[in-house]
Amino acid sequence: MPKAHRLNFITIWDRVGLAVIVLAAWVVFTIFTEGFASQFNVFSVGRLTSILIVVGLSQTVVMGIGDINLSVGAIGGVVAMFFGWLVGPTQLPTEGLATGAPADVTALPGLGISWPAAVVLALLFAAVLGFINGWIIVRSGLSGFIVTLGTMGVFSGAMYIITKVKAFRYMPESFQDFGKMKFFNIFSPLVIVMLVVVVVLFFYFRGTTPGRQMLATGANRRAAQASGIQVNRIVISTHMLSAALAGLAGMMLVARIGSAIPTIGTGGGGDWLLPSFAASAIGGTLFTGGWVNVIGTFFGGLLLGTIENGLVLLGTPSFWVQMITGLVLLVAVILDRMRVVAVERSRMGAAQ
Amino acid sequence: MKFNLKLLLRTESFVLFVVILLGLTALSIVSGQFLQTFNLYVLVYNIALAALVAFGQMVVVATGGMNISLGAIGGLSAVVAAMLMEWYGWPLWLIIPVTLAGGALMGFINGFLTVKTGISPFVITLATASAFTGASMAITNANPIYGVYDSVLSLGQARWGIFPWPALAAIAVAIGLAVYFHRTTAGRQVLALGANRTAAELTGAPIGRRIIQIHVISGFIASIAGFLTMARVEAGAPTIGNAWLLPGFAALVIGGVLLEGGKITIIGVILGVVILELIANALAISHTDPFWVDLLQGALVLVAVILGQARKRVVAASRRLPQEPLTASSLGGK
Repeated sequence: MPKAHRLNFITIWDRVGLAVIVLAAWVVFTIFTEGFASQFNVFSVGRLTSILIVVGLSQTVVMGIGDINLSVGAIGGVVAMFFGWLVGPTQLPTEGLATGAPADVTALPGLGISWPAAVVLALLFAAVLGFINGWIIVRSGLSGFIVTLGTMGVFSGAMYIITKVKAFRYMPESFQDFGKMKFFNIFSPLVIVMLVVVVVLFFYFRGTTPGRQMLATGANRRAAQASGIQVNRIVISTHMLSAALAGLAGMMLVARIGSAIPTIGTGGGGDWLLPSFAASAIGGTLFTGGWVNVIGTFFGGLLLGTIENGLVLLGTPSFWVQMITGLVLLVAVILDRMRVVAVERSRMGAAQ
Repeated sequence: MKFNLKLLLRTESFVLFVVILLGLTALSIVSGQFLQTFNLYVLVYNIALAALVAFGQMVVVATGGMNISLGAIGGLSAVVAAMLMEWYGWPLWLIIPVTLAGGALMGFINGFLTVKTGISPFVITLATASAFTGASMAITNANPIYGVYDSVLSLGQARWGIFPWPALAAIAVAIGLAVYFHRTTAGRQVLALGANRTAAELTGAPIGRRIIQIHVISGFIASIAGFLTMARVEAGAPTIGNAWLLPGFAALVIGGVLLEGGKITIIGVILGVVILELIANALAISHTDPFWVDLLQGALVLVAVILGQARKRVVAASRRLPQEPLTASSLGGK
């Protein structure tokens, strides 16, 4: 009886455990901090977690094929700057400056394209970066680890050289309004963007052939190849998807902070690498491939964002956030490991 | 067939050596600054530090693993050493062994967690890296500690011509590793388990103990590098080690270390480090944007791994072994 029960508990906990933990965190922070449940804070947590969730998903999809992408932060930063260049004004504002004085020397002019069009172009650009990752991986037969470590240096190095570490500070009004927009006083449109991504990816892996082929590739590459799946094409398209998601997260961050700065994704508030793995692993996506949990990454990102915001409200220095994210990742993978062992043991017990 | 393989490996180091000679010649002709004693001293110092970082990564890669937390260990070691000087005024003869023991302890944590949980070292060290960095930040409140002893600073600057005395540490580590991997049973077992874990297990090698041991060595080397970097930048900055990942792996892949594990080359890694530092030195002399370093290191990693893969194919063909189809299938679940 205990064995069957235990398995049952595990099965149920698998489905709702993370949601329960997130709820518990909300309750704790509502009680112990001032203003956690305030309208403004709910709005900022929504913007923060939406970005974290999309960052997490950009890692989740490559983990699905049993690969990793170290360049998510670099791609996020490069695409954010590319987007900033597309939408930035062709002339930097000179209002309030003496005639003939140079405009803001820390800012760069752009092309002045309308921002919805720029979003599409920037996503295509991100996909090209992902194609480069996937293509090198497929052609060389090497692991994503070493290839994306290399492209990480190349992408962000090139961006720093081209932009000279200056920013695109003058975003169009309509885009700034988009970043500040609120529905019912609490929801940012970024939340809607994130929800659309989550729903689309959920059904993509659940019910479409290419999504299934990605998981098959991750579960057993040889078997997938033998059953007629074009494994190389899947690896490349997965990396393009991952890069597009990282790029989208980069643009969402531009919307949130109101300007495109070069350290998006790699510096400032910490690297995206750790949260991307943490959100995925907390959510139950495996490092071995063959299985993704899109809803899990949603809750994983939600938990990370909640903890980050709650700690800031508690007055904790921001570097603790990174440390706790790391510890949460460690606990999540160890618990998952123990769960797998427990399930296997109870199965073996049942077999005997 | 065996001869053929040896020849190829020898050629590889030889090619690196020729590249270095060409680089040295070109730099001496183009820049009058390059051959100045001080510039060469800085170059040798940088090579020594970069070699320590690469060795710290190489030992774990030999087992088929990796250590993402290498830089975090270096940073925390530097911070702890500076803290013991500024706040507690410990004598140096006590601080150095305590710092190095601290690095070894952090390595032990990595190794212990990797072995006991069975989780990949990538995930474990990614997580511990944030914990170690967080500890550095918490200790220093994200600011460098400047109270490094004058004796340490003068040790950091001590040199004989172009040879910085701290570079002796890198030489000692290189010799120590050469002895460990080629002359001791433990070292051979590490290479064996890196090449084929199951086979090594069947021969009775204590796999778990070796992996923990190698992480301890990695942490120990990282703390030496952290301490020397602290002496160099004259502060215990929590940012020390932030950028050790890319150059470390770059030196390994240029030098010809197999990332899958089982094969190391100390000479190759040193040659790889020399190439990387020559490039960095050339960029510094010509006052080029320092971000070119990132870009070139990244590009070199890609070029080196692609060339290495091509070489492996040639070796496999020369052995006439059945060859895996060239798909991404060889990457596995690392």
